[in-house]
Amino acid sequence: MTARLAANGIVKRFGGVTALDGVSLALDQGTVLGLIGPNGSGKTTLLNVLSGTTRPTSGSVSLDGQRIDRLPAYRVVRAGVAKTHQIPRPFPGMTVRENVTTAATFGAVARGAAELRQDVERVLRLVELERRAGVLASALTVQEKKRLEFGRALATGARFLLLDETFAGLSPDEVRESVDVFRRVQAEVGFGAVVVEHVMRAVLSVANRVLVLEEGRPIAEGAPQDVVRDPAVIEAYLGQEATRAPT
Amino acid sequence: MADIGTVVASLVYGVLLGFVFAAIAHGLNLIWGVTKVVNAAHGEFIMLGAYGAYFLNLAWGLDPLTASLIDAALGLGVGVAFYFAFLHRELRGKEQIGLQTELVTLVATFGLGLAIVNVGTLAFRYPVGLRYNPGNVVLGGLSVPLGGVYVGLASLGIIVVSHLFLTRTYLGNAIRAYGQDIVAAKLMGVNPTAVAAIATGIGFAMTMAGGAFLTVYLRAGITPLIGLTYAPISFVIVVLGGPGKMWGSLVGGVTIGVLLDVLQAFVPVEFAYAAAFLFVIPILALRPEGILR
Amino acid sequence: MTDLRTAWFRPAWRKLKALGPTAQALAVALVALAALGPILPVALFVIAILFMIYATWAYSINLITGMTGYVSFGHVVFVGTGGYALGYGVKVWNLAPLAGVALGGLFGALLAVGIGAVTLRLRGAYFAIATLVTPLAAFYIVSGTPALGDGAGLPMNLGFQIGTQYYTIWALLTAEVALTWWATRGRLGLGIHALREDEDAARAVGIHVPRLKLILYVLSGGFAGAAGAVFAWYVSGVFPDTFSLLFSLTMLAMIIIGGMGTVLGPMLGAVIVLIPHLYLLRILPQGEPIAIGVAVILIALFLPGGIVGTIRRYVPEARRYLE
Repeated sequence: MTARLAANGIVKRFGGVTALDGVSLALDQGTVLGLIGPNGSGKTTLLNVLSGTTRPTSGSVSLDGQRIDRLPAYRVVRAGVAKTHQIPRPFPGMTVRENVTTAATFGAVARGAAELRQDVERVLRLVELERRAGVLASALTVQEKKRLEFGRALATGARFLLLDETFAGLSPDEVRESVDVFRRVQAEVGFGAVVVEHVMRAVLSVANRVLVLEEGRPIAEGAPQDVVRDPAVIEAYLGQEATRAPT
Repeated sequence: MADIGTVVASLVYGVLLGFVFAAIAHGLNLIWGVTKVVNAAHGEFIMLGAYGAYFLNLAWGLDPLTASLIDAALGLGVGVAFYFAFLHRELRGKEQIGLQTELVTLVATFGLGLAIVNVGTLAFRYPVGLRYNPGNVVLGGLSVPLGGVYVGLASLGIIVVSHLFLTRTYLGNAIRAYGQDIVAAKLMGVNPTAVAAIATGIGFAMTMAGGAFLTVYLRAGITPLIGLTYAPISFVIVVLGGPGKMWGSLVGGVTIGVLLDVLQAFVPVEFAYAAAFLFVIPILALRPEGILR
Repeated sequence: MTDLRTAWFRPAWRKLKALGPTAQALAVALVALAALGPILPVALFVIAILFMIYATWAYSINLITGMTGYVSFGHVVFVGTGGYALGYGVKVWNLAPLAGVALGGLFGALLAVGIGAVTLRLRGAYFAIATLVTPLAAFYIVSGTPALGDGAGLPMNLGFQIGTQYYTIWALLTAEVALTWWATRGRLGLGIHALREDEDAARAVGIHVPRLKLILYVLSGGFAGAAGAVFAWYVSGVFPDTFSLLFSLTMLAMIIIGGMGTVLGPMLGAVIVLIPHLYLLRILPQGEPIAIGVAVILIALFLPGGIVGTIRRYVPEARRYLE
């Protein structure tokens, strides 16, 4: 049974500013949707709407046909959609293992104690943090914190992950490593994901489909290679990054 | 039920009282808005200002207005000292004030307040009052105590002067810049420590001057415990107006002053006070940024 | 005879040992308080009652402020409400004092539901201020309500029932210590810890944050109210002055000094705050709060974890023993 996350006609207004103006998407579990667009195009706002952090002004979000857009964030997680933060927010006074355990305890999947412990160890292995499991989250490097952020979302057992600029702020080598980890984990666990990114190389490597936003409106959607060559997209970015993206 | 005459009178008294409330809250507002520190000992410095006026009155027969100037000068020094004693350690070098810092400064200042109140009750067993009675003035059929008029206008003056200072002088703008964005202010050559210390000093100066003004309303009832009433009133005023919004003190102060006095025309005084205090809760629930936009 | 006693004693002791040194120490202290009760001289007995009341208050504010970091500046409102509930129940409805205590707990909890529902969504200093005004409003309300004795309060004539008082407050304290210990463990402990670390991140991993905060606040209000009722019973009266902010500050001081969010902290804080209370009170009534004020300043600036927190931080080996 593949789950389906869908958003329909999302409009979000903040006072006088229209951040999202009629965005729709549909995502099957197991697919990765890249979400790109110039600064201020509404990508993070869309993630916030999908995750229940913000309520849309109009439009709906549904998971397997059930509306989730009016639910608070913690209920959306329980329903099976987990979001990471752009700047990682681990629980600083807890160890890596405790961070993951917390997510596993309260997440989307109810588990018995033994199964929970196993799942936690599995997640630690998947995000390559097993050797740092006993370290306090505040002592981690930026890359490790991002892995932990990813691992926490995984541990909730959510069927859909919303990743907010997971690859930002990393060196090219780190980006390559993180992309490999993501692809491996995604293949093994099989979650669906919406990946907001500025790092083109990363988006092109991990996404099955890409949606491009500009000023809150979708301007292109399709296979990554096609989207980056789309003239409207190139124009939105003023041409530079997109045309230089490697395949 | 009260007649229209009483209500109008209450309105006038309420506005005058409100100006004084605004003055005592303004110092808290400034410090909170600029350094993001909530001074839990605020009430005790109001109390010190009041006692300062009392002693100046006792020793040299000074009226509260003159005394307030001396109190303000004292407050400046005390404020700067307070900054370095309590806040500098936590604020130094920080570019963002987090929840942890907020908590630490809140708790440290509350300890100070606790200590001061009790030193006070040790020293002053009985309430005191000062001698000041300039009589009344009749305005349109209403007899208004001159003392209230003088301190009310002086309070208004403090707020206007502080507004001019903050917007028209270099130091004032530096303080505002620091309050909005420490990093940006530093990049423009503002010394964060100096600015924070001076802002605290000015805040305390206004607080203590306000305490001096308050003595007109406290008549024979200056006790070390007045801080426990006027600190919460100050907090309510700042929250109503919006922390850091400089006109907020005036709006909040007048709102509470008018609320208190007008309500007393209709309900027993205790319920008027209870209502004035509880008023802040729905505001926080519905419009946490304050009444002002 | 000996066989009968050791028959349950050893397995119970073993189970207690498995829970850890903190649980052991607290259990021993509580059992000692219960067992020694009958043999204490009256003067000490009466002091012990006051100590247990203070400790119960310390644990109650620990449940909200210690566990979540939400500073309940107005916590005394529950104490006073509990006292007035008992006072009214005893004088007007002719309830037995014990029923008054239950009433105090109930009213404390209900008040906490009301206040918490509105204020717990406010963060940091705003929450502190919103709770700050509640005891003030309460002070004025009871001062102006004839049914509640106006400004004179509700003096009572309950005779000398220190025995029942002792064991009532003992039961409350024991329940609270057990609850606090339990709240630092397992699923609940994890959720509370996460909430305290980063409330928004806690929501992001599926923790039902608003409900957790409210439950803790209601429990803290209930226990503070019940202990407030016992206090009114103990001093045979309740007065508007009970709603004094100074008293809220003392409750906070107990957990700041002892260590917020810990299991041992409130007990330690109560001991440290009460001992001077008993001696300095004779010499210098203001000495105690001044000393407390200074202690709080020093601790806030230099030892933010309180005594227990600081030891845990700098002596990692002690973490097993001090919780």
